[in-house]
Amino acid sequence: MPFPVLSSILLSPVIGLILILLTPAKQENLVRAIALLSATVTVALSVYLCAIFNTADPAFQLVEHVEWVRSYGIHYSNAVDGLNLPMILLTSIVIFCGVLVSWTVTTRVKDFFANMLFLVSGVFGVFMTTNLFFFFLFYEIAVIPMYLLIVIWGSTNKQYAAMKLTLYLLLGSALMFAGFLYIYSLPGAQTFDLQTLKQNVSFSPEIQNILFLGLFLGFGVLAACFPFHVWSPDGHVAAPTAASMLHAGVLMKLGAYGILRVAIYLLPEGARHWAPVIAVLSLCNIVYGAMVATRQKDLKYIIGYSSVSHMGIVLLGISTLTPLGLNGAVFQMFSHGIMTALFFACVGFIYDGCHTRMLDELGGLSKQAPKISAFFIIAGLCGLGLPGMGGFVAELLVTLAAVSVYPWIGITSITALLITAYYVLTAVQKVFYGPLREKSAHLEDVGFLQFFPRAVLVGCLIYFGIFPQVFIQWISLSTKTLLGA
Amino acid sequence: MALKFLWVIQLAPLAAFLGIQLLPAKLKKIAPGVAVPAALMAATAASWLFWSQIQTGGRDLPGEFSTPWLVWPGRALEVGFLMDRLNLLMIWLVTVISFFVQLFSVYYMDEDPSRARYFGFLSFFAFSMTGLVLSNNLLQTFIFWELVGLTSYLLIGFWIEKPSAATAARKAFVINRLGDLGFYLGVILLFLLFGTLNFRHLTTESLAQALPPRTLTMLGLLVFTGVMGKSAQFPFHNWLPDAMEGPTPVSALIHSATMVAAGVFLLARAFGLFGASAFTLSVILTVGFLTAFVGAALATIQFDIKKILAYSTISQLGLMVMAIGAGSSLAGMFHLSTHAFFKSLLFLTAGVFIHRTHTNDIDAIAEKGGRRDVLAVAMLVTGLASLCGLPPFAGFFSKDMVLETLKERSFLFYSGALFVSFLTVYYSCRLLFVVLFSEAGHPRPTTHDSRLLNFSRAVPLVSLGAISVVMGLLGSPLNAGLLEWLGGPAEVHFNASLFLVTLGLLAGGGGLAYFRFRNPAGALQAEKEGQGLLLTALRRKFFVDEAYDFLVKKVALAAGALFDAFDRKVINGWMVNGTSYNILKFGRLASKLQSGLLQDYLSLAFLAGIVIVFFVVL
Repeated sequence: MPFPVLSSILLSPVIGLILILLTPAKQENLVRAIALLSATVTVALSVYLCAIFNTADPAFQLVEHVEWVRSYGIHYSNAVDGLNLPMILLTSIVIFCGVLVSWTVTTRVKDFFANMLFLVSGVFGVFMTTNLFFFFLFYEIAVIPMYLLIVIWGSTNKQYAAMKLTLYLLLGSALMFAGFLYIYSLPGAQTFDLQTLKQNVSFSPEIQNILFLGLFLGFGVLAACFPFHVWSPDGHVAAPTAASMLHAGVLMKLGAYGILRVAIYLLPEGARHWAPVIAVLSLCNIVYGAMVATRQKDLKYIIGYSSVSHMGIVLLGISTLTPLGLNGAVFQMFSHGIMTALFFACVGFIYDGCHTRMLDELGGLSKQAPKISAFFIIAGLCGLGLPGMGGFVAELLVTLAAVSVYPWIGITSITALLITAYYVLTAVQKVFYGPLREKSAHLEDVGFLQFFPRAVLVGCLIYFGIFPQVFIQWISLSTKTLLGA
Repeated sequence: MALKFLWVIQLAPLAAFLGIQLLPAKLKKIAPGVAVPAALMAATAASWLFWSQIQTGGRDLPGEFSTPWLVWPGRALEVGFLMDRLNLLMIWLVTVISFFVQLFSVYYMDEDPSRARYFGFLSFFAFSMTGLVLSNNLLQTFIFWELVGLTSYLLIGFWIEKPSAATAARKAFVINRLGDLGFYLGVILLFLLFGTLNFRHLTTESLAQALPPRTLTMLGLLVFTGVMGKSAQFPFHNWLPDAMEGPTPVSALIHSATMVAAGVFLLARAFGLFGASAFTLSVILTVGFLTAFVGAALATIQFDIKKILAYSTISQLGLMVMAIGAGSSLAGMFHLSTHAFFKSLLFLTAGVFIHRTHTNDIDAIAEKGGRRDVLAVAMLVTGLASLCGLPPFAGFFSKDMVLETLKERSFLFYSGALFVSFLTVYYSCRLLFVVLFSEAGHPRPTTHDSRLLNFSRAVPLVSLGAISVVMGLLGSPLNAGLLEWLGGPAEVHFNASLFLVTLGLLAGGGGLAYFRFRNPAGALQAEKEGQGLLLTALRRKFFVDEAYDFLVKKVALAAGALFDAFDRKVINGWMVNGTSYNILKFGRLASKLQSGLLQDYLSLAFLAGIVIVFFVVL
């Protein structure tokens, strides 16, 4: 049996979690070191995974299959293809940087890192598994720690936000689980294995339409699809820095990933039926999210609504149901994940130093702390679609696809480039330019430990912005198969 | 072989940028020592390449290097270099001016604590601008187009403590973005409809074969909106005067000679696309004229030396765009080349005045003895003479060529351009006379600049001045060679009538300015306080800023507020919190059923019994 890379990536945070639980709570540095070690292992393994990934094989690769409950078709089975490879890499990068960024957390250190690792093992599980039962299981694992992270370590209206987020996500998962059970009950199914379902079950058009709608709503909640997006800005704002990074960087991608991996894969006809509706909703995300962002006064709310807007680009790409659009969507999932993690890493740092995130109370930061300012501005530039960074490539691909499938929607979505430039630069101007404000005066710039994770994120944004082909060749393998082309 | 030089030209400034970023904090002060040699290297490589190709009659042209960048099933986007006569001229001009401006910046930014950031950005600008010029396809042009916009943003806002600088930077970026929306859409549609964005395939013939005329008109106009943003064409011109918030050498390099000329360059580069539709060309011609007029008119009333030059740049860009709209990218590019040199010269001269007198106001410059700097005054005269089109300075030949082109195209636009030229002479002489004729107050104590600083101030001024003169001299290799290089006539024929018209304009504009500004103090006072309708309209800059303000505040942000309220009140308040409130309310209501009191349960049972009986009986 070859070395089980995928399971190792999944187990690394689990082992870290167990070790942390065994460590006395007073040994804070040991706890941090364990978390960092297990995050480092996942990064190393993910990079190794990218290296051994076969770019010529469109099927599932490195399949790991352990039979568990045969009569119900519940098996532990992992596999990687062009869709989830970028997502696994994304998750490992974000958790690695998230652990480093959280080095300064001082309250209940042990519980904090335990929750982080627990959350991330759920996320890895969702991205890897090819069994719907485990998909649901891992999904639930990812949601619950988020509630704790927000309630215990959060800020600004945290109880409300945590409850809202959890209820929303559970609503989504309830819809999703109902859909899975219904699929299971269909003639010929009686299994949760994705590939077997695809081969054995023929979904009639009516079933496809209804089922796709249910699954889309379930996943769409998590992807912050309009009008189910309001949990996400509140959640972003309330969560502690690293949790915001994981939340916006990775958790929201689970929804979009589910739409691709489960809903479109199993129900292509249903997808075609609902695609125009998704396109309209995604346009609302893009333009409406950006417009709302122009009115926000809290830096985190601006990023929260910018996430709503940027996730719209993912959904718009998906709604085109063309290889190009899906490539762009997956690319945007990766690049937005990195970008928004960087955003929150910077805002968290500023909040820790200035004790405020309000635009009107900040000012002149770039003189005081040039490095953190540069990081934030780079993230902002990626957000407004500056060429040379990942966001531009993703938006280019999605816009190309959208304009050719839904010309007017595609053309209208371009206006977000202007609105985004406006609100990003306004925020940059208020926070980083001008004379130094009183509350900003005590901020000390990042030291090496805090510099490094943010630099990694910037490096990823720029590298994949200049050499996007690395990803596109992986992604297009799977999007072609997914659409049956 | 020749293509290898392009790598040097492109990557030397990038290496300088990265090098400066990697410098440890203590060594940041040697940043100019990294940036200037890199700029010199690029300029030398470009000059050598340009010269060797002129010598051999363009033996290696056109040369192309191309590699796929983004490939997906069925389609591919490429990146690469294209080297032909057009962009070889442009790259020479960009790298040479970039070098001189960076050298000048050593003097100008000597005391600035943030000069590492400054030189880093300048190097990054040089990298982006060469990328834009050397690009072989429209998407790559767009990519670098945005990057030069970014450096422009960063350098306008270079003095970060100044709130006005930050506002101007944002304004520049956002208005450019507005134009770029059209450009972006144009690129996307062109790629989807035509299949390639390579300049060598964007010829009028092949476009006309592949696409219907209306589509071509639409595509041309979309790309042209990008040009309008970047080259500050009316009504997207108003960011450029505000951009003067940046350091003066930046204005010389980015906001007069190179980046703002990129739009004109793009018009020439993709002329196949614009020339494919007569309607597009007439729109370009009209927009160019409006810009030329608005710029020149507003330049007549400015008191800030940099603003005068900025409005003059807008006006001259308008003339170039007009020339191309009239069908001659030769005339447009020729004027671009001469303008690049004399306008950067003028800005650097303004920089000397500002550095010496610490003011931008022409009146104050004069009063503080600006005219005592002989070199600066000489360069001011040289630059302004070229700007006015005084023979035999460079501007004379290029402006005449533009006028001649317009004369052949349409008499209306020709007379419009003549009026613009008249205004140009007027505002140039106004500036000159105010500086020369004002009462110079107490001379400032002479500064003791080090030899290095004197060198870095004087060399760029003298070199740019010399080029501004030589480029125009009839029969000088640079003049004739340049025209021939661009595919123009081998001999410039002497157009007597146009020559007389030019002399007339010079005499008229100069005379009027002399008449008004013999005694500058009173005239400036009158301009500042006059109440006439025309004067008010000019002082308020034709109310363009007010119109933008209205659109942003009363339309866009109001819509944002509406959406924001919808999000908070309807979605969050009514749908989400409302649902949860109702669920809680229902729960509380239902919990009353479990009061634990026997009489409650009995009466409930009784009530239920009655209801059941009622239903059963009926």
